[in-house]
Amino acid sequence: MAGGAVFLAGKVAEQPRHLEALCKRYYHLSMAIKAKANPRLQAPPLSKAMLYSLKQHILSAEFQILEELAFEVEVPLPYSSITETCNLLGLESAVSEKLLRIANNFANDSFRTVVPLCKPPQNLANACLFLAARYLNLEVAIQADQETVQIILQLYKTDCNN
Amino acid sequence: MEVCVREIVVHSGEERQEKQEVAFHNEALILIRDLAIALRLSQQVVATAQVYFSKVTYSFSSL
Repeated sequence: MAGGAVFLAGKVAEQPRHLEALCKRYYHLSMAIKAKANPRLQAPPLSKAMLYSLKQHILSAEFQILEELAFEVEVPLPYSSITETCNLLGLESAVSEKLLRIANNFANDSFRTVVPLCKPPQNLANACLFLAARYLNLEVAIQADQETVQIILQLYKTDCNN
Repeated sequence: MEVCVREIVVHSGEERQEKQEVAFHNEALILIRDLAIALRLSQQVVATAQVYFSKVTYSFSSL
């Protein structure tokens, strides 16, 4: 399913990648994860038959995702809202650049939570800017939804515990 | 007393399963990120792919 999601997202963003290249990378990455869990595991080289089977799996996953999304492939992302809101804050360019970079990093991580599924992009953008301002000890007037902020922060608490 | 003990066992079993599901989901999202980076895709593609994956996973788990 993960491979199918990347394959489809690449096509939607007009950055398509060859299925074979994607399959090879996917195989090596998933084998690396398995080897991490079991260091004695020796991954076999990717044969032609395995490659063919993996291609079929990814194509089938892509179609399954499309069906599940009802072919609504557009995903509203918070990055443009972050930039617009950051520009409205009237900060010095160096500070603004730093705030923007850190807020974008929080936004990248937030996609590992449920926030992008249940909150609008502006809400997510405000939460990321709020967290970035806190991180940099900046006093800026940003109204952020505290529930969104807490969900994003929970991600770091979980990562620290693992 | 016996009933209470059983309840605790069932609850901890469910909790373990939930933790395993969360760990699996998190691992898959990290795999998506690493795969997209390896293929030199933009951050927007990573985010879009992660949203697709989460939407499908949550719609399956809510069945």
